Amino acid sequence: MKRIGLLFWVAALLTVPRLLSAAPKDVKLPPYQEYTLENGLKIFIVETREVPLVTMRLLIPAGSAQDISGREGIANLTANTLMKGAAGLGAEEISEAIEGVGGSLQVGSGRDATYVNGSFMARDFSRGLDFLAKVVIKPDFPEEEFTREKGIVKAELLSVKEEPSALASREFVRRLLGEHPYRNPVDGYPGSVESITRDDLVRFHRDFYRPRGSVLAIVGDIKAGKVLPQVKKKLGSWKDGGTDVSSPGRVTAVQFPGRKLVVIDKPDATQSQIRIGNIGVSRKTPDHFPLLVANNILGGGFTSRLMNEIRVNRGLSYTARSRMQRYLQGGYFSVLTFTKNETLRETIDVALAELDRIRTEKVGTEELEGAKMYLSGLFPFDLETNDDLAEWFTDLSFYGLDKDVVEKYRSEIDKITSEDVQRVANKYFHAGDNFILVLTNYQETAGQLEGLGPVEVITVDEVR
Amino acid sequence: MAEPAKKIGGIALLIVVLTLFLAEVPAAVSAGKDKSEELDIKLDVTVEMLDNGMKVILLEDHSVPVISYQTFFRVGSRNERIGITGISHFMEHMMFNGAKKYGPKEFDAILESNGGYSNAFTSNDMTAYYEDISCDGLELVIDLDSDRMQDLALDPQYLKSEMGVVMEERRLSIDNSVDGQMWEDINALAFKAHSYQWPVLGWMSDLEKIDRQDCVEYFKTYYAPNNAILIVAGDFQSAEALKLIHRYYDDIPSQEPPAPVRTREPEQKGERRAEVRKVAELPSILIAYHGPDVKSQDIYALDVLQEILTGGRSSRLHKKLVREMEAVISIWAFNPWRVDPSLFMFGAKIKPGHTTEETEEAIYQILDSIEKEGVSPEELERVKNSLEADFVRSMQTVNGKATKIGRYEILLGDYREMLQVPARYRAVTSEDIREVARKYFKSENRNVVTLIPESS
Repeated sequence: MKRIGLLFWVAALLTVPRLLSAAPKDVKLPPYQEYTLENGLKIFIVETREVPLVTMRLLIPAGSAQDISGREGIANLTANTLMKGAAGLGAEEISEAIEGVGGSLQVGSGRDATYVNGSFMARDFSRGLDFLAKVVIKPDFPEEEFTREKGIVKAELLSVKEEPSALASREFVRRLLGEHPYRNPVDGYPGSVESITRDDLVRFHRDFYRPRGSVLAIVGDIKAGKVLPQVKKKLGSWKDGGTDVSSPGRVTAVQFPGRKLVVIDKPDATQSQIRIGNIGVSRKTPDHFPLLVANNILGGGFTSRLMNEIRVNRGLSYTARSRMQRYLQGGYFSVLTFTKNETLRETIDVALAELDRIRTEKVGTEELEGAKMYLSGLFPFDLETNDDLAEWFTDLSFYGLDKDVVEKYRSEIDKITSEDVQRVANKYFHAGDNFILVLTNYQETAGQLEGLGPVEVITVDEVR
Repeated sequence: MAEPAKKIGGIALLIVVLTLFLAEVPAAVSAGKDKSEELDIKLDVTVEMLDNGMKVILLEDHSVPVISYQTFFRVGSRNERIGITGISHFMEHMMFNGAKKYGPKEFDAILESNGGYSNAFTSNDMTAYYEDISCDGLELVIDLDSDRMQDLALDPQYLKSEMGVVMEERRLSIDNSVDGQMWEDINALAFKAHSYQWPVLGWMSDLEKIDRQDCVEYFKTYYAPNNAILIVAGDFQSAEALKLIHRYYDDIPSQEPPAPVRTREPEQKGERRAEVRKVAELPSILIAYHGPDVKSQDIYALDVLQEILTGGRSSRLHKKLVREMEAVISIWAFNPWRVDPSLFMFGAKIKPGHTTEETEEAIYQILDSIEKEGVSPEELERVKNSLEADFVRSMQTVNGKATKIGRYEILLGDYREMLQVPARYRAVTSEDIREVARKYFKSENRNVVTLIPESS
């Protein structure tokens, strides 16, 4: 049927009336109360009335970046075992008390922090807080529970090798981040988890689970005046340890001059996974807003350049996106896509061309304004639920961000120019010195990969 | 509690304000205090049937200045036939590739550059589209969505490239996925007659052959307004929205209703087993029993039973298989709500040193003991509380509310059914659970797929 040439397409876009022609108004955080307990714990309380629920989110500066080298996975295993015995209560007593009222309490770890997320009917707030305090302050780490959790993590790590996408992403990050602890997967490696003992968990908890540096947000259908005394009572007794947490140090620049290519050879793969990237920037950066816009243009929504060129125009993949993964001390930039083995090289080349183009050509007004409207328009959806708000309040505090990151989001996005985009693209979206990781059936695709840079081929079993 | 109200332009307009009061909720575990409190969810809903047969459901919710605009079509892989399997899902993709007023690429480009987000999903029973956007984007999404319902382009160039996209989706989630491959196989094993036997993504050889004419016919029948339900939830005024909806949709003609899906799956007469051999690290198992369709009252007892078996760390199978035997990494059960009779499924990933046989045995033992002894009042109370809390959690966003309305419309024919559901869970007794366990979990009604890991 009808074909629309590029010129027509651009013209059509120009005639589209913009609904929100002026910059949309900034979005405010809801009213909140902020406290700091004597032991250093920061607390945010937000009253909302939409649904009879309450969310609690506690962030503790006890992430996998604090793991001991060779025993990676301690933070994760500590978090997994936390709910399995505390204050003399057994694992089943704890889970039944929480699930019995339809509540949930989840503990997990990331690179920078361990989180405890609670969701309860508002009427069960006290019970939820009580158990949150018990598992965080007084975990027992029963030997039997520790052994069981360790067995589960080890088996899960084996099953990662069955999942091409997860396997490719883990190995990509491990090789990209040099010697920095961020390179390690939060759940560790089969060998490192094997060497973890119960004492490691006890020590990790003693050293890193501390109120100072931790932040708790309580958001929901509660009254701050009623909640605060309970929080003081339950968490005021959380003792602050003496030693200071050591920083894992900044992520330092890694260069891959002329590119480096690692291939994970999976002979039964009919589809190849592709990761391209380099190191990035930390959560707190003056480039925050320009990066949001630049990344959205390159590989954000359904209309990003990567999606348009790889998926829409060529039908090469189901997904193509770019991402700035940002932690406290730095991060990385990555392009993620996949395609059938026959079109591996074509897809890599298209992705590399887009990385080059956003650095060398200034982005046009329509595209820039569209990306800005997209980000601004969707922002209220990021603040819709109690869980969303709890995450914002804990993150703002934990990462030391100004609340303007939220409250000036739209006006800051509105200020971004095509020069800003080009500047951060050149700073963070590397072109000639990228690290590329491919998971593929190498026998089938080796010929395609010639000329991309030095190649190192490993088998799935050789992935750490 | 539904209260018919005024009429607008000769068409009956129902304004329904639904209030849900749930019974007293006693505490499940000791502690003793939890006093009676009511769960009060108000939905301010307007329903209107257009002359062309499209049902419009409007839910005002002024808590956040956004709207979720969703169109549900009564079509899924259930409506397909051999030769065009996967076409429902493919059509979902093609709906983003141009219509008459807005050509290829323009739907997403216009929506995103106006601060909106769109996505869609296809299941065995339904295909659903949504746009989330700031509240002043209402007319824009009405314009975009009515355009593609009226005049989908199905441009040959984009048919070709989009089929490439869908094939990559299939390679990703089935061909190169251990779990996806097993899922495909258990459905193919359990259904020998009904269209639930093939994957929503379709067979690869059908994807290679589906042509434009197939799509044109499929679109005409299944994307007609009389086969659609439009749901708008969020911050808007219903009267104003209705005017706009009439202006953009009234001219879209209705079509002959689609032919009903006639095939019924015959009763299974004996256990069926199959193996998947694939490069993998851990053995894995799927077990499926033929169960009821969504309109059966058994569905609620089965949901409660599913929670008792695998809902959370207090569930029976978690305690038995993950904790006591330490035989599996994880275990799940799934009671899908589907238009036609479907499968109640179990899945487990086995730890090294353990076997699918002992896992199967343990599952059957527990099902057996439930058939014989029923469940405890504490268990029953726990899972009812959890199902109730999950219900409330699903109502937190305008998108969540609109999706729920759409699903209930397709599956149960009336969104108001959703407000009955918590009470239906509350009414389930231990005896009901024994009865559904006896009725469905029979060995002759069972299908089992095991994964035999091969080394690379």
